[in-house]
Amino acid sequence: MTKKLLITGLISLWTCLAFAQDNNKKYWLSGNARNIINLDEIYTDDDSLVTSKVEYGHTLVDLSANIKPNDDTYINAILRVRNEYGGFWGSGVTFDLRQLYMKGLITNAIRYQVGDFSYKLTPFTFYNNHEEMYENSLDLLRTYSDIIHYDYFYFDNTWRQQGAAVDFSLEFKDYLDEIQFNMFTSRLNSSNFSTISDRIFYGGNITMLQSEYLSFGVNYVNVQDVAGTSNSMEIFKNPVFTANYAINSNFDDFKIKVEGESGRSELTTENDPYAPLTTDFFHYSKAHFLHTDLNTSLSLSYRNVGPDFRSTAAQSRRLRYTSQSEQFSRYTNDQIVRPIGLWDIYNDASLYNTTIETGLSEYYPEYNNIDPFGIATPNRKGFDFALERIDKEYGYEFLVKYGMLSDIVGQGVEDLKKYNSLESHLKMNFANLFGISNDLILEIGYYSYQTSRASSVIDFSAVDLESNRFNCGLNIKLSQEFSVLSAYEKFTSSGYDLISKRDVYDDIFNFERYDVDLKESIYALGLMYTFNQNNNLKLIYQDYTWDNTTIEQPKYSFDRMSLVFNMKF
Amino acid sequence: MKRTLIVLCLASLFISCERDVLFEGPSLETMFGPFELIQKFEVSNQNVDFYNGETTFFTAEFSKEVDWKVVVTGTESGAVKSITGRDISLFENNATWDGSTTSFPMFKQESCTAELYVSYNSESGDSTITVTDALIGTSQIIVTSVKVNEGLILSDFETGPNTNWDLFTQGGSMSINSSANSPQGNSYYKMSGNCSWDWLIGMATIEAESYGSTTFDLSDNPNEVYFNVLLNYPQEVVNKPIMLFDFREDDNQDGVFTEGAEDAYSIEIKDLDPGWHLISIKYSDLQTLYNGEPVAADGNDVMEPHLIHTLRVLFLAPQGNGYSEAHMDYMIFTEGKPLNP
Repeated sequence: MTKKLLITGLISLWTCLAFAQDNNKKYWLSGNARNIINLDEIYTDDDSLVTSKVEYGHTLVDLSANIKPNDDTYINAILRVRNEYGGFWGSGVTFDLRQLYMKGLITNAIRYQVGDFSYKLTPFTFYNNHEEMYENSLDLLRTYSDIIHYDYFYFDNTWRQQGAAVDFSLEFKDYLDEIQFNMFTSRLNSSNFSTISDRIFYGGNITMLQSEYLSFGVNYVNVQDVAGTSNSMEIFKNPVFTANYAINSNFDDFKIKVEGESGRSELTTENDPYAPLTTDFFHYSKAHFLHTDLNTSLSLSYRNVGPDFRSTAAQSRRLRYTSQSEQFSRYTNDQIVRPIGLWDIYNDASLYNTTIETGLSEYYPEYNNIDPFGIATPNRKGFDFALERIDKEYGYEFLVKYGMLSDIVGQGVEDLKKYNSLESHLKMNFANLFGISNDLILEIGYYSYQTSRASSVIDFSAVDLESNRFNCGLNIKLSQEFSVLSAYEKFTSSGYDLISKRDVYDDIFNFERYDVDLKESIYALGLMYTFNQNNNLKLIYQDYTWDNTTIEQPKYSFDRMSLVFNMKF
Repeated sequence: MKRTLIVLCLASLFISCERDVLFEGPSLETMFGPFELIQKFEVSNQNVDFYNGETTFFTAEFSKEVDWKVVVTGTESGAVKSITGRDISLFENNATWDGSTTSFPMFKQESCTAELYVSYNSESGDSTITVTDALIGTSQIIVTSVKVNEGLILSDFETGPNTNWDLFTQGGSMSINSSANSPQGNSYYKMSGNCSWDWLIGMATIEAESYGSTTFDLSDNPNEVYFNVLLNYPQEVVNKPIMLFDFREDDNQDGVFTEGAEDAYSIEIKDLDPGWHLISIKYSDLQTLYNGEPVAADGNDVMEPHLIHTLRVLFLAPQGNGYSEAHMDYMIFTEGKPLNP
């Protein structure tokens, strides 16, 4: 009854707002609409009993009520109405409050936001790193990833939080331009009033802008249990303190920027006699040189992130480690669990985390063994190089990256693993070159990642794991409205590594041998009709194959025909 | 100023403190390296006199850390002592035998066989071989006298129960039984019977006066005093026995226990698995029970083991379920720690 009243009330409110939009913009309505219909089919050699096709989808509208009761206050609420494909007359329909927050100005100086908010600080304190394979993926293959990002609020590397955030700044006449203050607090999980305490997350930063050439900041975050919110006496604590700087300078045709961050973390659980006090530090610096005439930049960065550096909100992973996906979770006549692959990472929302999680979680070595926890991955040191050029005249841009990392301390032996990566990406619009009016964009990329360790003690400690990725896409704009999109991606991973297994305190207690000989490929073809920049309709066909000879499971492949409508209003 | 800052920042590129650990996690060499016996399995004292406080220890050395297990078996009694650990060697601190037993019966004056087993992983090409409980050494030990357990022994039942015990039975019997199955010595106390009208089949009332004093000679600290007894429930008996041990205090020290006015604390043992078991309970963990449920104490509600006046041992079994049987041996109070048989 209460739910019905709430839904009726919310719909009435949205109806009123819809009719009140012209009232000096005190109230207005915006939102997103989406429709997806998928027809999936799985193919295996040994499957005559299981239904191989499935058709499903949904339609949803996110109705965003924007309310500005006065000049200093803004209220936003998003109601999600979702109807599963096949739902009629109310069955299959869900109503959810997707977002609710209030923000405004106090004494015209202090900005605040309460309720839901998206937040980040630095890559070592509070940062939502992209999931594996998202970076450098092709437009057409990103279609579903972008939907997952939108649904889970993965905006600009922020984590979605619920709590309060405040920021303000002080301006100065001499010596300093400005000092900026940012603070937030949120709750990561709630008490069960018995064994689990409320766990809160709080912190902020102070940034001193000396001039446009120099800035310096300090950052502090802490994930901590609140004593007294349950019967448990154990109090988890993970404070992280860092300092960062940025120096800008112009030298002839060069713009030079040097930036960096260093800091220290602690991790412990008070009143737990078995919990160690884990402390460590990190250093990160990056020099960036941009030749303004050539529009070419070179960057060099160095990092040294200690093996015991722990920063919960910077090392939480988007992608959960799981052996089972939601779609076609079992296959073959024996109904064995289908191993997950690249396809699931691109398409399956059930693999993703919506909240920050404590502890270094398991990851997929085949897809990212080098920095599975982003730049804050513990036990890494070394250099990264990047060369980038953007040529607007000829319509191309290329990027070459090379990474040269290693362990800081060995894992199980004193010998260090080496992590080498090479990424190259070219995007070219032939429209300028051929003098045609419509875009003809080619994207091509090759990425190679290698983990190796030579053995000086026992043969078993030697590891060698290599992953290679090649992708290529061609997008042809036939007219202002119609485009043909295509993508091809091939991923291979072979070799072996000894993967560390961690206990509840994040200490390594075992090493498990991981062997892989994986081959995956996706090709996709799409037709897109663009209504305007906020509205498009895509018809996509994808074909995916998976084969891993190191595990005794038959290879499989997928086909998907899908219709995807997206609209922002 | 600016240049100084730049220099400082650039310097931090290359400065990083060294960590003082060589590697994270367990040693791979230990986990997967080859195993070799560097020093053979030996016993420090092959004729050991446990009665006079002697002990013996085992030595061996391996090429890497392994899970090891020394199993000493009495050739006459069948008693077994297991000592386990994970280390690269066996020495006095981790492999000493004080004459105690892991699996009943207790050791007698007899010769024993000591065997050393190891479990480990080692690499073999691309795979791991797991070796479990591989026997790598044996030795002989002669127990010239058995270990003595410190404490107040109420009875080891070798010569029958104390004649001053007050025994009561209904539909059953309680008697000494000599058997090779005795966990200590050669005899144990057998309680058996079938009482169709009551749960109680037999009861022994043991007053401290049987041992020469109005109360038992025990510490006044309930956290220091342990009551220990060996119990057995024969596998073939269908109607599971229940053993109730009732400790009655003389709170006002008038020489008698007054029911309903002075404290009585109990432990009820039921759902015993077949076979001999050591039951050890700290006096402070006892409770006042009424029909098996905890209730408030009747007296001063202070646990005073030095004021125990009477111990009652009740042999019970569910009424109407037929014949039941339980065996008891080596009833002893210890102080500071439970019995290490």
